[in-house]
Amino acid sequence: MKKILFSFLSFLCFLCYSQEKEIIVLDENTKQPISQAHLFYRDLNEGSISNEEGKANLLIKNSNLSLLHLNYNEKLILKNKITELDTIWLSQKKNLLEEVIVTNINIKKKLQYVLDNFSDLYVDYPTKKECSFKETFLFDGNYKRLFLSQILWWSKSSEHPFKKNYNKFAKLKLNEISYSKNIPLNLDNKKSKDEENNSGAIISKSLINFFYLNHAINSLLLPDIGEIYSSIEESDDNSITVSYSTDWKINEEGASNRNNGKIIFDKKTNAIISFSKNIEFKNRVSKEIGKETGKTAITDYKNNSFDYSFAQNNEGKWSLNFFNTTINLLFNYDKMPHTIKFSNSLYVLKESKSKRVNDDGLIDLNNPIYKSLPSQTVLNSNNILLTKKEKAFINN
Amino acid sequence: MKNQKQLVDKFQLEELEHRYEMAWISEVKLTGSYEGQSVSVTIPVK
Repeated sequence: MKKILFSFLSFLCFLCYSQEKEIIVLDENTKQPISQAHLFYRDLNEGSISNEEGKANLLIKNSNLSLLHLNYNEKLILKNKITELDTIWLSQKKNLLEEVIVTNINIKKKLQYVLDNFSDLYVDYPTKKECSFKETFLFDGNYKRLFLSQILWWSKSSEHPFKKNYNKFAKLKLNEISYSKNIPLNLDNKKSKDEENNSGAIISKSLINFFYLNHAINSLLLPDIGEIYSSIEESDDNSITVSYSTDWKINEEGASNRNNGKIIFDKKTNAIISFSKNIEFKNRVSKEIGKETGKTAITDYKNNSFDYSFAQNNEGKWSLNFFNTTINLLFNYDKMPHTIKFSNSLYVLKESKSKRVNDDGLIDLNNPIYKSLPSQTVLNSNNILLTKKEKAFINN
Repeated sequence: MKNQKQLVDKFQLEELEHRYEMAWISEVKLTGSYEGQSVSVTIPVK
């Protein structure tokens, strides 16, 4: 009887497992893996995103699949062909820049246009987004923390309303945890119970504001930023890629920063469909002296990058499908220099209209997100696949 | 009188909240504060 039950359960597991498929996305010329390729069931507003090794876990659905990437031509895979797929080859978009007359671009005007028409260009109704959220923390180049979890992000609109009380326009709820490992920093080589829950992180309340593109655009149009130097890098049938940079600007506290990055505009709508920004810092330093140890800790911010990409839904509105922020710091503790790198990524896998969600399982954004994770992982798979290096850290 | 006092208190509280909100918006939206430009981190030391 036990054997029959075991066989039946195994068969059920096989059936469940067979509903998803690992797919690799490659460049048809270079044969190299393509990261951040969006495998998108446009009719269902859901999909998956490839990792740095070009690999993605895809749920098999009865719908045509679009392969989207900003540098590659869109590929449509018919629903009856999806189960046969293992590898998807994409061809690079043709750069038309040499064939067109390039005129100067007024980047500030284009950014202001996006802000002024935000609700026409981007999803302007309340949605709930089923996302994968990944956090990595590297200390002196070694992984100290990695977690990958399912998060539900409810948002009143794609547009940040510039309200301090984020609860009125955004809610983050924690769902299944796919992978989670946290090695305490243990700076003083003294093991104590509270070490594990007392490690570094990006401050959650500062993070959530940057999920919103208009917030990031606004930060480039601040009066203190000054001139933005821009040039058109590439142009194809559908999009135009502009690179930009600013001068170093010093603030009242004596710290300086400058910005550079790339923005891709959709030619038809003038919407931003990809936005990257890297802020470099000089003298953005904070100093703290340990109350127990008396040791000095100096945090020296080096740079903070942001990446956004968007997909167009079947109503013609653009919506975020990928966000990453990575921050690099020099951390001098007790006269010993260390490098620190925090990275947070948000992959939007499914989006649907939802006027409101209840508050069950809300993440407390007054604390780092890893502190909300349960100690046990619930699920061991995710639409977003870990790279070999990340798997090695989890398994060792 | 009690109701009037409650109303005044409520008004003052709302006004304070409004000013606090506006100050935050000015800081983030109109100035080059780091809160508006980059994320911040916490690294606790003992």
